[in-house]
Amino acid sequence: MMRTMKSPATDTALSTGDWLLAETVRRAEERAGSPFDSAEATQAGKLAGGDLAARIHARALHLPEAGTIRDDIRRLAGITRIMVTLLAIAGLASGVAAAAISVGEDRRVDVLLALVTLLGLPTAMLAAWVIMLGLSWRRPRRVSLAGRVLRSVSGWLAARLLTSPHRQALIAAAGDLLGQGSLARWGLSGLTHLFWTAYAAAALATLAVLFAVLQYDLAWGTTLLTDATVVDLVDRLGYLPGLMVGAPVPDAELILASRAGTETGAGRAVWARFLLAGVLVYGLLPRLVLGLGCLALFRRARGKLKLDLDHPGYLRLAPELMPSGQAHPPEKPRTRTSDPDLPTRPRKRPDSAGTPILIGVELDRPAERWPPMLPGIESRVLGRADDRGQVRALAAALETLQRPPSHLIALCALGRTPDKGTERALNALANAAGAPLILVVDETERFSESGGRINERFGQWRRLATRLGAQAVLLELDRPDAAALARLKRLLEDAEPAE
Amino acid sequence: MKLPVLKIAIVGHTNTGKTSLLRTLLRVRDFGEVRDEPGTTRQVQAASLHIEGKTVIELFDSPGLESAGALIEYIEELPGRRHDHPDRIRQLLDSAAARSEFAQEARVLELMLDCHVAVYVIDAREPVLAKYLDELDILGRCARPILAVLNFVAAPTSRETEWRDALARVKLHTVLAFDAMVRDPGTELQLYEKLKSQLDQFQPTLAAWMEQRRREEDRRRVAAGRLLADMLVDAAAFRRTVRLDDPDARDAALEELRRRLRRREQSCVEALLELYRFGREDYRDAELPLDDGRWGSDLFEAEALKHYGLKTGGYAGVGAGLGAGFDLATAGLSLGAGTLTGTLVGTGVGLARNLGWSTVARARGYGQVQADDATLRRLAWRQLELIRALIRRGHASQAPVTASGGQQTDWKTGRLPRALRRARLEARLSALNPEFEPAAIRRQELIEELAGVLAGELTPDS
Repeated sequence: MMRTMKSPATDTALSTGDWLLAETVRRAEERAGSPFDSAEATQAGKLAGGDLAARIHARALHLPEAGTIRDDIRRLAGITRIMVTLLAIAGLASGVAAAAISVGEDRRVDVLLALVTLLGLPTAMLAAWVIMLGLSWRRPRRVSLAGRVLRSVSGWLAARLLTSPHRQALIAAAGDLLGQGSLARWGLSGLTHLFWTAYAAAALATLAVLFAVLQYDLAWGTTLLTDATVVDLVDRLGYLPGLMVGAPVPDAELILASRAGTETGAGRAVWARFLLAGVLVYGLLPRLVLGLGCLALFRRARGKLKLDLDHPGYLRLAPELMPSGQAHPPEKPRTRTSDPDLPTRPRKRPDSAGTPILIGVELDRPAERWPPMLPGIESRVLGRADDRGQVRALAAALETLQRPPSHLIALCALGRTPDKGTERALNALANAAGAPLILVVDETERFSESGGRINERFGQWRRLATRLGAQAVLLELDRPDAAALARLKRLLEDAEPAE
Repeated sequence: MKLPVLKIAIVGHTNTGKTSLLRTLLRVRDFGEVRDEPGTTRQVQAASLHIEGKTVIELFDSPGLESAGALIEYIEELPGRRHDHPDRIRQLLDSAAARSEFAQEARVLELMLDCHVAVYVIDAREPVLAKYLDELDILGRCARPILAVLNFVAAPTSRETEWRDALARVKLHTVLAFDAMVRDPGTELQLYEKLKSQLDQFQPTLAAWMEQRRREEDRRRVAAGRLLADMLVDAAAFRRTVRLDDPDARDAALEELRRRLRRREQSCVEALLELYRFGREDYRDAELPLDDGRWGSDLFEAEALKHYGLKTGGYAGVGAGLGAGFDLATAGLSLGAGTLTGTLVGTGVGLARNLGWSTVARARGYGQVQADDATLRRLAWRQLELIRALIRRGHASQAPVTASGGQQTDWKTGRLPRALRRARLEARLSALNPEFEPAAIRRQELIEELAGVLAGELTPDS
């Protein structure tokens, strides 16, 4: 048994026409493989608000295909009405026929036989209905055999009478409609009660008319039953009609006097009224009451029609119609007032400069591999700057140098993303050194091993260098590139920075 | 009941994979990286999460505190009670420095004070530098719970343990490990679980959000079952008429049958991937048994049978053993059919046991071939494996989703489900046949019945 999702009480209920429209659209889209492409409809669905079912419905309404489908839905409704009417007419016709049969051709009415003829079948059907209802109480969605036949016949008929290009989908949806909630049960029951009500009403009317304008002799006869039984029977049968419509109950004397073969025709009015009242109370009233009850329950079930959102055709629409996440438009960028400390132009190499100084900034390099080897380049290693304290210490050391260095070489790791803090620190160190700054960006292999994109990241370092009025060189110290090394050497030899 | 709106600040430097995390949370592919314009501060970008159109969670993608060191020094020098941290932060925000030197940091701190919780994203490949700890220090002074998220933990250079230790030392024990490259949607659930444990007053909001996610998953599972059932009914009812005495025509018809079945399987696969919003860029995900969006092995490969451990029992057309499996429906066929039956062994198709097929046509040398039981089992089994893998991606746990104990059908052996056996009998039920009747109620009933059976196979263990 499939565990179906219980829709929460807040899910929107749709009218029958709307439900059919949404379901038809879904089936047509599932058949086609992808949703109908209509930005307008999607927008309308989104704007409609409410839960997903409400939005799907709004979207369906605004689709260009909706027009023909709704026409067909109306046509379908019309066909249904006609079929119901035909059913009622069939009921009326049967009622008239039954009444005509039961009174016979020769103005002699056998009362008991008439009762059996008129009420036997309907009462048996009523009993059967009650039993079926009881048996299927726990499974309200199951469509009975009669229902299936009806569905197939209507399907066949509808396929010929509907005209939209999506009529097959509509027929499938309509077929499924019966399976929703208790619609099948109350709808089909209501129809049977309609038929039998029409039957009983027609029979009653026919009898009434016949009895009014023609003269019948009403008697009764039996082969098996005794007189006493019949008296008892008539008494019991007549009790309820007597109570409800004041119909006269034939008393024992009349009963015995009316036995076939001994009748006098005297009690004919009483018997006629008895018969009519019996048909009314046992034939018409129960069916009418039940019919109205089923109609009310059917209407209630229709009012609770919900879309079953567990279909791929609907779930596909959810991200567009009811996005669960939405980005807002970005903020206006605030202009950053430029740091007054940043150099407006590149630093000049100081006069009487000494060897270049090398420092390490936020490197991954372990302590064992420090200081690094810059092949073919003479430099003095001053230390590493990994936190504020170390930056301060290095800056202090740089300031108190005897001779300023020709250049400050800051060895940086490509793995780091240069940010304001880095900028600030490098700027402070360059100022303390009073010499041009060169950023040597190392650890490229480690970076690409961890999945990084070298060009992109180095671009960020280059931009940082520009802001600092410095140069940047990409150089993997474990496997130095000759061209990069050459460039570095050139930068160190030039009095003015190249480019 | 109105749910209180939860505001979450997602703080981190660029390149920490913050944007990827946000995309996962938002389930939106195009949440963009804000370009870093020179001369401007990095911006905060907002987004919201909705339940039925009503905002329940607001997310803020915020840059990090890049000058954390300098900021700490500045704050230390502010007058006032040393330990009233939020107070000092507010003082900082009121100062002139907040508009100039620390403009970007001020923006972030304003956001921190405005939000209820901060998620601090760390690139686990980075060394545990002092500047990150400084940053966490300042963020901590805003008196908001902080959840640390370690990204790129699956990278070879990841330093997850170092980071966890360092975070523990600053008393941040709530840590989430994540990897943007692996794209595991289960991360989302873990994140919300951890947030729930930190935020009492927002329990209802987070619970409602997670409940919504769960409902979506349930819905998807049912819908996946329906997609699979639809395909199986199409496959079961599909048939081709074959001239039994003309070997070329016969082979052509058989090959066409197989080709169309493969295509039908592929469109089911695509529909399932679409249902689970598995996009092109997710194909790198090694978790799915597919090969770039398609099944690597052919549906009809003999090896496939062995792989799935499937028995060739039941109605194998005449695939299983010529003598015993001789199909009643072929009674009355000419000798040509006997040869055909030989060639069909293990090929995945079998002669249709369709009693409605006219004996006259049979006598004239025509037969109908359909997919046999083994093929249907394979189709079902493969797609179930795929759906389970798709479901698994959405779960926080890495435990495999196996068929629950109460399964109604053992797909490997035994009879096929009733609905499939029924579907076999009527040509009008398959979209692949010319006699297809789309509106047939029977088809819907069989699909629903079969979907029910399949849903039982897909209920996760937990």
